[in-house]
Amino acid sequence: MADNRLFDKHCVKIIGVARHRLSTDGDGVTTLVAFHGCPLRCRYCLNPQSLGDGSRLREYSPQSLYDEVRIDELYFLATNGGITFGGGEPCLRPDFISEFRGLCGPAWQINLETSLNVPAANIKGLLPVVNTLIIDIKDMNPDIYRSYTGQSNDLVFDNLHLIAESRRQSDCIIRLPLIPNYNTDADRRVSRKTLEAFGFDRFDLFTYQIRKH
Amino acid sequence: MTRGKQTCKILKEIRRQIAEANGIEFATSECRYKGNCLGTCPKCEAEVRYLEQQLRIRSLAGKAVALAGISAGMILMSGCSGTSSSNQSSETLQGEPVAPIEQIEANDSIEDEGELPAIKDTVVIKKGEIEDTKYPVVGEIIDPEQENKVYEAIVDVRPTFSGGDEKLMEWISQHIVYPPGCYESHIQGRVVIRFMIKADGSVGKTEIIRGVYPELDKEALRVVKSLPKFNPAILNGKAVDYWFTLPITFKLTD
Repeated sequence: MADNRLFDKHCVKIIGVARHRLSTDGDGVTTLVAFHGCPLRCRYCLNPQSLGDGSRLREYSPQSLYDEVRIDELYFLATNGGITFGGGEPCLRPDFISEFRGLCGPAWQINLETSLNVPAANIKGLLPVVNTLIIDIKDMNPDIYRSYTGQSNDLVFDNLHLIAESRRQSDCIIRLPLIPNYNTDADRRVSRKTLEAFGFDRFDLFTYQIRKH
Repeated sequence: MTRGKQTCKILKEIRRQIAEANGIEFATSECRYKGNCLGTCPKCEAEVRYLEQQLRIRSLAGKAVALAGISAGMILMSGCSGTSSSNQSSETLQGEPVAPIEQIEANDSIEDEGELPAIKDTVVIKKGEIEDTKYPVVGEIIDPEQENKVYEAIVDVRPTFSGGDEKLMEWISQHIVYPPGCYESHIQGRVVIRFMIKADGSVGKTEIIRGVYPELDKEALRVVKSLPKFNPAILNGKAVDYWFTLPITFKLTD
């Protein structure tokens, strides 16, 4: 008989939970919850374990995750911190995150670290329940994007439009990486200009670390 | 100072401020633990539980509880010697879990793939159903001169599935299960599988030429491995091994 947990859409695999992150996403104390699964195959993926078959990963329901992370609630409430969902791609799990929001209540900050390369319906469902989106945009040039991630960035554009229409640009931090061997500083300036035209104004410029895995 | 110690010191300062803001008596001793720590330990956790208990008592007594407004960032910048802005580096912003639960090996065949082989048709799976307007296609010649006498397209009669290509596709559509995790996650794409149809008609070696996602790849492989016997390829009147390439497209439609 099939494992029923597989069919519970609110039960997900998590590659890691890291507590007590300080000053990494906002001023508050945050706990990073990294989901398994990602639609992209980035050359320099920081968490390649999110792409494995995940058979040995622990599964969580929103309730079991909440039970585990609420140990730090005092810190969250005192510092305006909370949970940062990453991965992997957290926006593949809108139902899980919405249910989690219902459990933790409105006081916790919920941040997402996302590529936005997910169906717009997912983002639409998530916008009302999250506080901040940290968007790893890669590069706005579709060719560079495809060569680096293996995927089109059409959905990213759709979702940037959606965020702009919802006037949530100020809740977004856009990460503009310099990707060794894939883009240049000039490409990055073009990306930034395009994003500014959407009304985004919080950028984080950095260079991807190349790791061997 | 190691990172764990920094974290410990900052969390302790947060606890001290919570206690002060709420008039809770709070005495903490200097941690004497040497070496790397996780930033918290049973003693630290006990202090948190103590604060929670005290806050609960105040709350039950109808007193206002002050919690919000402490900035870990400010403590990090101003109150803790030995810290540096490196803690705010972009790398940590990205959020790499400290202790991944599982390590996997890189799959270069997926990451470093080049162009796809030219394949005309696909089996399309729509939410577990099949779109049966297209036929699977046999593989291209890769190395007809290879010594182990496995052929791809230079046979006299290529292998056939009982009932033909349509039946093959129908069989696959009936037996493939869209992995629930992928279905929920809207993960879709085309998995290209190459498998050997042995001289006795059974499926032999299989390999993923192009993978999409581990669960989709696994399901495609599972189904191909479970295919019933083919009528084998014939070359010069003899049944021979034959490499067959089959793309299976997992596609979700609303």
